Amino acid sequence: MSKQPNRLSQTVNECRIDRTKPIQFIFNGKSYQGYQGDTLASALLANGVTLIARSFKYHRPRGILTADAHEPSALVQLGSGSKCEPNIPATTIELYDGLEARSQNCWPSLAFDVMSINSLFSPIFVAGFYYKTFKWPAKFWTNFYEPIIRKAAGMGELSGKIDPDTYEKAHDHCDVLVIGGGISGIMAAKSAADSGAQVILCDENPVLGGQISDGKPPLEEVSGKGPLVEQVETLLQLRDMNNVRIMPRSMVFGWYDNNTFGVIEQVSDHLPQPEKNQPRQRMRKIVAQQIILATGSHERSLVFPNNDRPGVMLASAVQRYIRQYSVRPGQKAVIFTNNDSTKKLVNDLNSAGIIVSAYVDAREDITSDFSDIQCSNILNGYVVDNVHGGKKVQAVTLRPCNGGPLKKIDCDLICVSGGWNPAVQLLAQRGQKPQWSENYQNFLPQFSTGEDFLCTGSLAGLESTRDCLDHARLVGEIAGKRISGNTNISLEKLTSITTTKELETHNTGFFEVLSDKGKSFIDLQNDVTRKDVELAAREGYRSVEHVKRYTTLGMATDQGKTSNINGIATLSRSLNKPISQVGTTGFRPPYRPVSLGVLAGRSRGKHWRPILRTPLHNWVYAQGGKFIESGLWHRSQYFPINGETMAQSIDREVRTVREKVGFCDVSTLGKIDLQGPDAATFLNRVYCNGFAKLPVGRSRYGLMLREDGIVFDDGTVTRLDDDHYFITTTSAESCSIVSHLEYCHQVLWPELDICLADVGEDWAAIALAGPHSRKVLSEIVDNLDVSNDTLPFLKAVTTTVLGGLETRLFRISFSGEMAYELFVPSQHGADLAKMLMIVGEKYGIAPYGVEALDVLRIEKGHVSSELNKFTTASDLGLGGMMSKTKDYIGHRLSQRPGLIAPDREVVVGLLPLNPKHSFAQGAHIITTGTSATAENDDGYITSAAWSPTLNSYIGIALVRRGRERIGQIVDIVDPLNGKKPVTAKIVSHHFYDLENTRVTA
Amino acid sequence: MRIPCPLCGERPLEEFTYRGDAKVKRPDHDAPIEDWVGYVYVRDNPKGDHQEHWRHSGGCGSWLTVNRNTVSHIINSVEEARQTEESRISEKTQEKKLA
Repeated sequence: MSKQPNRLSQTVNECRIDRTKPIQFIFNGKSYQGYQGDTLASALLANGVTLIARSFKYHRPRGILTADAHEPSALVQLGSGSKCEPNIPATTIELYDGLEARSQNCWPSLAFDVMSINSLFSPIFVAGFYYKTFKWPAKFWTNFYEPIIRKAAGMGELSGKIDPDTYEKAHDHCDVLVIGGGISGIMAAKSAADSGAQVILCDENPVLGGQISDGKPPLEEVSGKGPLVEQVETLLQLRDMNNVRIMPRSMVFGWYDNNTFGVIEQVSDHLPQPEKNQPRQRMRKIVAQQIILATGSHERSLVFPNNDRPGVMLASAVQRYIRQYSVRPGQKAVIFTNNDSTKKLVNDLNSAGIIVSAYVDAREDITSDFSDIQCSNILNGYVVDNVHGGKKVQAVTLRPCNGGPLKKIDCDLICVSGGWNPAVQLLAQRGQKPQWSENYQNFLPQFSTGEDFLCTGSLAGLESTRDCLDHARLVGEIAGKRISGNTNISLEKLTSITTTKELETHNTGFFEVLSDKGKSFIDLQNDVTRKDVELAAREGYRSVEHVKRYTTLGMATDQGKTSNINGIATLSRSLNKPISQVGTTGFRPPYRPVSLGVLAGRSRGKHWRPILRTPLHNWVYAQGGKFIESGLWHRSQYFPINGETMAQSIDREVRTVREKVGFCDVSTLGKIDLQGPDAATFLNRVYCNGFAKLPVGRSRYGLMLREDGIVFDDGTVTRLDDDHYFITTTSAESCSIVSHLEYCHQVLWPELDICLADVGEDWAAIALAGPHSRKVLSEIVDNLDVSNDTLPFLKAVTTTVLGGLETRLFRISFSGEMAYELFVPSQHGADLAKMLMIVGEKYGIAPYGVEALDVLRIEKGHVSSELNKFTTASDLGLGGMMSKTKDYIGHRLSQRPGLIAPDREVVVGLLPLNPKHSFAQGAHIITTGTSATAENDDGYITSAAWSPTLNSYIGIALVRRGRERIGQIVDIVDPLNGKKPVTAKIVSHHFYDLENTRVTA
Repeated sequence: MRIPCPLCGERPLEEFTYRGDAKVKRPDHDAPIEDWVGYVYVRDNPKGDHQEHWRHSGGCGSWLTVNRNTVSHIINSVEEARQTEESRISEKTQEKKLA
């Protein structure tokens, strides 16, 4: 078992790790040991591993900068196989047994990386290098430049396999949502909950406490009754409150309209395997009335030569590794700061046995009191002029700001603090423009309070624990009062705290060391240096948004949380313009990267959208029928018997209908019930053909246009009673027609006295078709004369079948044969199918699927796929249906010149000269002898099938001036499918029973 | 975004379907063709207050007239489109009577 050389002996204040639970993990193929509660970063540091990754552009060796989720440097490839995930900050990975991670962007190994040669060519890899270089020739970009650049500059790699994990979504509501579980968030949540409000407290970390940490406070504060003790006590009380839900590992990534929040909960990322039925992650949508933002602040680094070397860490991160994980990140440290937040770090370093070689404060003119710092080498007015060492920090050179000799000091750890940036990202998502505070030297919220939100803690600028607690308590009280209906609460006390504190504070604006001894990085993740930003300014970039895009500053996965302000400071200096005028960039969701899997949730694979099944589905399945997806529906496609192929089955089904009798599940048709005294008027306005004179007990084919004159849908309308109609629509448009008709009714003509109901799911529908259909029908009806005299074509009756089963029986035909449509209550659909099989046996009955249905309608010349949202009624050969005497939807615009032009593509039939020559839907029509070019395109095939009835392939096409060209020979070309042209004759699209005698027999 | 449906209460965006500008009015049948083209194709793209049609498609099915600010996304009022239209029609009749 490997030792953990940099793990400190057990301390009282250690709270994250559990030494009784050692954990084995693998990094870059080597096995290490950590403890339960470690992050990958803390465990690697404990094992003395400080070189973690290679950088994005220059392949520079990189270590760990932070202890936070926005770590820019220590990105690793986590897991293996299909579970492999790239670009994960080692600081966010909670250690579990068997965890496997490796460095990315290095080859052949992390220590010896070939591409680090890029560093030598760095003078050419400056801002805008790609824009300036790979401009020509244009087509080289996608095939040549981009793949190579991506390979060299890439970060991690995707597995390319299907994500094996599961994800889910949840919805929550609360009165008060507290974002951030640091000291302020905990206090605000408690005080809001005391008022009785329902509170949710979200924090992205596994344990609450923010910069301070959960559980036990640091040793020196336990004895007293300091603020940290108060915080811990508050947290313990909070956990027992029934009206509070604490959500750790829950990152609020977006603040959307009406206080809807997107939250990602990492449910089982920290476990070797999710527990049974546990998702990997869960996306919550939380809707809240009042929001308390306690998102805290992010420490920023400073810009100096070689500030990216492994061993350069944020001061607060060093403190947290020591205090929370009992890890010693180095042996000899130099602190480089511009503020007072680093003072306490010296104690931590001392207690961890780390030698503090120098405390370097860049401020020259400060009155700060250094007497309480346990360090013999305090150098104020000094800066770090250079960092020595390649894969690890070895020494620093210090330079006095006002001149004087340089000092070189050995060290392997540089603790940097450049000040603190309030985490304003969520506020900026709501359109706030963060405002520069000269006193604080950071961007504060533009508005810290609003009708429905309150900011507190260091987000509001507060720097001391005491201030944070007092302010947060007040904020919680106000939120609670607002929930109780008290909306007029004075915020004066609240704002006076923050204004007073801001006036008292005078932070120093120090961001960068102007030394050219090596690369000075601003954005470590995207390898953007101080010189890149200066170059952008020299080249004329002025807007911070443009500089961001040109240099890629802040565009990496950490979105510049540690780097943006330094970049803005460099730009401000280069442009000689104050930071307040340079401003900051905007922020959009997500706050941190979110996996696509969790956004999809359970909507993937066969659940990516709902499945609709007809009432006959199980019956079809039992019959051995095959299904085809059609929109959301799974429809019966064909019914093979005795080992038939699909084509054989379809042929037999078609012949059965033509020669005997068949039936088809048409339950997918849209069905709408329309009632009311103005129903006829309404139908007359929504269909292009007339419905005023449709008698009771009759069905009629109807054609609906869109208001722009294009055909929308077709179907049948049956008048069941004086004020009662039953409408069917195509399966594909059933939802949109309901919506459209409701629009017509509710918006266009609310004065019409009608009522519509979507009854699509209430009725199963079966089409019974074929010369013997009447005989079969006569055997199932209860008491009905089905002769042609009483039940002629288009007659409709409400009757009963099979001994009392309510049925709407319409004599309608889509197949071109004598046919009936039977509508029975859904739950009896399968019963009707079973009985048809029994009583129809002696007539040779067989079920048929949508493939045969399609062949039958193509033979008959009924349009279906021709209703493709490009065609007019006239294009479809249905121009005669359009009424000339009434106003209806689409009437005026259907008369536009373009829609009545004589050279439009209109529907015709196509018969190949060789009946065995097939062609496909989508093939194009050209005049024989011309070449297959877009200019010669005369139209396209909309329907194609093998017709067992005509013993030939047949097709329906939309052909320019088609009706004038009947009898002409054309070529059907299909270059996309690499098929040879098929010579065919243009014919009428009615291939079968032109006299219509069979449907009316 | 959340829309307070007058029939169902406040509901999330996912339940609603957007249609567009609620101010365009279907012209009379014999209106000039330009009016019809305007009705079908021409839309304002206002920055600020916008009256628009939404359908509570995942709920009661009602068509709604929503007054929404396109910048702040604040919804100032919602009513059934039927009511909007009926009051428009009665206003029109009133005008005719007065004339």
